[in-house]
Amino acid sequence: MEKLTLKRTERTLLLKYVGEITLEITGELKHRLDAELADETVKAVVVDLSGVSFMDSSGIGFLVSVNTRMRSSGRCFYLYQLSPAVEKTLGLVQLLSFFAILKDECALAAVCG
Amino acid sequence: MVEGERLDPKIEYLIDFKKLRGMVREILGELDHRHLNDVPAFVVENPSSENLARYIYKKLEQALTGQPVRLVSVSVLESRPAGPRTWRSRVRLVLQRVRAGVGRRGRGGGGRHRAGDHGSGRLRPGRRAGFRCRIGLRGHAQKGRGAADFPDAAGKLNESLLDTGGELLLVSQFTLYAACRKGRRPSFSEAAPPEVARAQFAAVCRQAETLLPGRVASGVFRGRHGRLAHQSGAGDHSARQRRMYRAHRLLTEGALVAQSGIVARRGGVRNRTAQEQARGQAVIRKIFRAISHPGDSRRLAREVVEYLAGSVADADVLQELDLILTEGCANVCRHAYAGQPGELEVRLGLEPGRWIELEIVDWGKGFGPNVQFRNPGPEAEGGRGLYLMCKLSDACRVSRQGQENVVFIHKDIGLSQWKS
Repeated sequence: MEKLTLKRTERTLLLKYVGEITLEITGELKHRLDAELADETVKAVVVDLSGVSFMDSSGIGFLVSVNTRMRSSGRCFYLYQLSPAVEKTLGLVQLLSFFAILKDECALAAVCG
Repeated sequence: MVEGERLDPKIEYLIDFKKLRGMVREILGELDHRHLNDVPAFVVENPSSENLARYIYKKLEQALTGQPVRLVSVSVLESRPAGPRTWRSRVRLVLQRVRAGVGRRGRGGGGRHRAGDHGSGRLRPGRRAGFRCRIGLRGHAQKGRGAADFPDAAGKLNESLLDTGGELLLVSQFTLYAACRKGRRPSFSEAAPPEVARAQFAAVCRQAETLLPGRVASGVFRGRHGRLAHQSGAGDHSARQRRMYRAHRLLTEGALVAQSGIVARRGGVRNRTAQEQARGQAVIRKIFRAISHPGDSRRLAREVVEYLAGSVADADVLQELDLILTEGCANVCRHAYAGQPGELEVRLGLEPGRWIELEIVDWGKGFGPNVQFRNPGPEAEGGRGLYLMCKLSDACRVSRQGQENVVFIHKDIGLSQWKS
């Protein structure tokens, strides 16, 4: 899955996916992320959505499930650089205020330490 | 019925009707609001209509002794069994078209006050289309949404809330049941008691919400009784009937009558199509097929959108259609055939310059009775597919037609968003 890049800093995992997040791919995304999160030292996950041209409800479900998993274990979950398509989809289901969204690079740098 | 030879010289009637009525009332008074089997005359005899007529005849004949008229006949009519009163099928609806932003909160005493978040203030009605609705709650919400009472491009009242993208404000109002037939003050005894009315009103709101997701607010009524009772009371009968007929005509002619939830018939849609064709407008139809599988479902959606890109210019609209189709096809893929591959079909209809209709069809297990169109809570991982489809379209219904499970979508697309 070359469209997926996972970048580790000391305590943060930055996930970036380029392409469409649909039912076709969410299973694999979840699988890959689960493998990474088995490492307990990951204290925060940031998902960069700038390269996502299309996202459907299974993509939303993926983001919600990771968010729930991180928060229930006292860790953090952020979205970063929402593409217009993602912003529209999340807006439709009224989740834009539900997720913690990093506004800019400064906010990202603060999280990544 | 009575007959006589000579008119009373003073009043030029056979008998003063008031007098006759008084006699009849006196006789009926012995029967009225009684258990007829307990009335002495019917302890042995069966209180059938025939026997009642005979009983009344005999009594009335006696009473008429010495009067200038002879009793000829007595008719007794049976009304439908009274039974326990039900209010369910008797919700009355007055539709009022209002423009956004008219009126302001707190000015004047009366008016309707909206509690929703769709703006605030007093609504000043534009044009009224009031009619009594006796077809049950489901029909009620449909009518509210389906009634065509908005001007189209040509200024004719031909568009419905479906088409205009407008919002619906529902206000519960018992005064619609005011009756002014007797006395100086209106009677509200026809109105349902508060607990019944509240449940009914909530049901109407829920149905409306499934039809117009996110576009429905409810409000509270704070009108002055006198004025409203006058509007809805017995007063001007012909005007009320005219309004009623007009509303019905609009419903049957111009509007796509929306059907809520899983209850769907194809008739409404077909009729509309037939109408469009009768007006000489070209409707294009095309069918796309695939086998439901995550990748193929998505490709099918893309294929339809690419075809539509030949007619629709607006990228946002195309993306919305893409999302609708992707959600519909993904639903088939996930649920219809228990995760196994199966047949999936998209039937496309479009009238360039006006609308697009999609039917996403499978032959699997179907949606069942608990199909959800609502936006689930933020923590839910799934269940947003149909909500998204509703939100992005002007009508969305789920139905089973024979072996076929059909998700029907109607989306109006403004003239400027099409390729010329």
